[in-house]
Amino acid sequence: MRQGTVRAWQAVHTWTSLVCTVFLLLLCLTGLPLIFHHEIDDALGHDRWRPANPDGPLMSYDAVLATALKARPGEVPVFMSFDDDRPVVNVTTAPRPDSPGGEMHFASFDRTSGEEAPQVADGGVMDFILQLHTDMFLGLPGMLFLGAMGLAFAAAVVSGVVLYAPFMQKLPFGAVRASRSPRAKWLDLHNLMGVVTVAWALTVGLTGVVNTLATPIVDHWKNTELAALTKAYAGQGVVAPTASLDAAVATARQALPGMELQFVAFPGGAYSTAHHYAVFFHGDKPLTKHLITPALIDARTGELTAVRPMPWYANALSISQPLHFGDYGGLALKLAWAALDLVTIVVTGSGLYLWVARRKVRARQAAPAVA
Amino acid sequence: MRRAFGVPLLLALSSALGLGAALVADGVWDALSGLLLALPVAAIAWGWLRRS
Repeated sequence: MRQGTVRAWQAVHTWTSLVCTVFLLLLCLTGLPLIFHHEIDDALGHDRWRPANPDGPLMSYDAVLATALKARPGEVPVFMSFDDDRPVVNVTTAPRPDSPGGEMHFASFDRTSGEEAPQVADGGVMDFILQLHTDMFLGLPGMLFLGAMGLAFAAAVVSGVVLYAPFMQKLPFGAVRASRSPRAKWLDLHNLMGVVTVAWALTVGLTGVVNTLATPIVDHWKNTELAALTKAYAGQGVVAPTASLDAAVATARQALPGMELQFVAFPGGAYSTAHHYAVFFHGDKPLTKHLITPALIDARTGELTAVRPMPWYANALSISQPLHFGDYGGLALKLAWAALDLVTIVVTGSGLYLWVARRKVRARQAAPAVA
Repeated sequence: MRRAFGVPLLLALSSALGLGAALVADGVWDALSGLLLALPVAAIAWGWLRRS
């Protein structure tokens, strides 16, 4: 590579890295406990709860919904989701179907008794860390900004790979010149750690970027796919759901056999139309359980309106979640994820050190000219 | 250039395999994923321990 080309790539690497350094450190530091979100929640008391009647009959979804609405007079249902590992149904209600997230109320119900099940004990700390990680408490602009930082990170990684060859051609793989100077030692470590983690770093970085686009992706789906499916109902207002929820779920299950129930979105909310229960399922295989498919059931008549697989960009979002969180392969994968996260922190920190050290050297070289 | 990228490319491929394995299959593949993604960390430890 010609010297001019190397310098150009060095400039790209320096500036894309510097731009995202602080935010990358924030993301890596908050990301680290988030990898073990489930374990931390469990340790803080989440799984000490037991159902009131473990062998008793399960309440129907309609009965749970009625119980939930009685506790929140004047509110309407927005979502209902179903815990995988305990007989609990979570009901989200709000003053209006399209109320913003801040006005929504989330409650969990024991299907064996109708009593409220406790929320996660210290949801506070992990929720705080999650919020910091996803949008720094700045909502959509915060998410999109972090998405831009993710793109800068990806550019930094790619430009780093390009620079690896000219910088490493005289050294064997894994060489770390610790006895020469701190700068040489850290340059070699930075290059080694960076180049061996490229695949993981690009995967986590780019899936992170896709995750920051969740809101625009869902909005686009609503404006195109969902709108196309329900053109016949255009112009009518939000309906009060009167059809039996259990019957709606049963009808949806018939249309999508072999899949598992994930959640139900009520009419007027973010994931449905003004007239339907949107019953979301996920697949039952390791890969397909990350991909969701909705069935639209008319919320007044209980009839199936439509089933259609989600479009490519929605599936890209679905797949970007496990690949970003690293929670899909058990404890072994989570431990490797955490180790790679720590490596990324050191790569970022050493990069900053190398930049500062280089500036100092250049300043000293320029000094004699300033007489 | 090929010599410089030999091991890094191998590690990138094994990492990609590790990332995908647990996604499409369960059971022993989960452990395999963890192992494959630990290889880059092992390479770093090896380089550090051999520092000159």
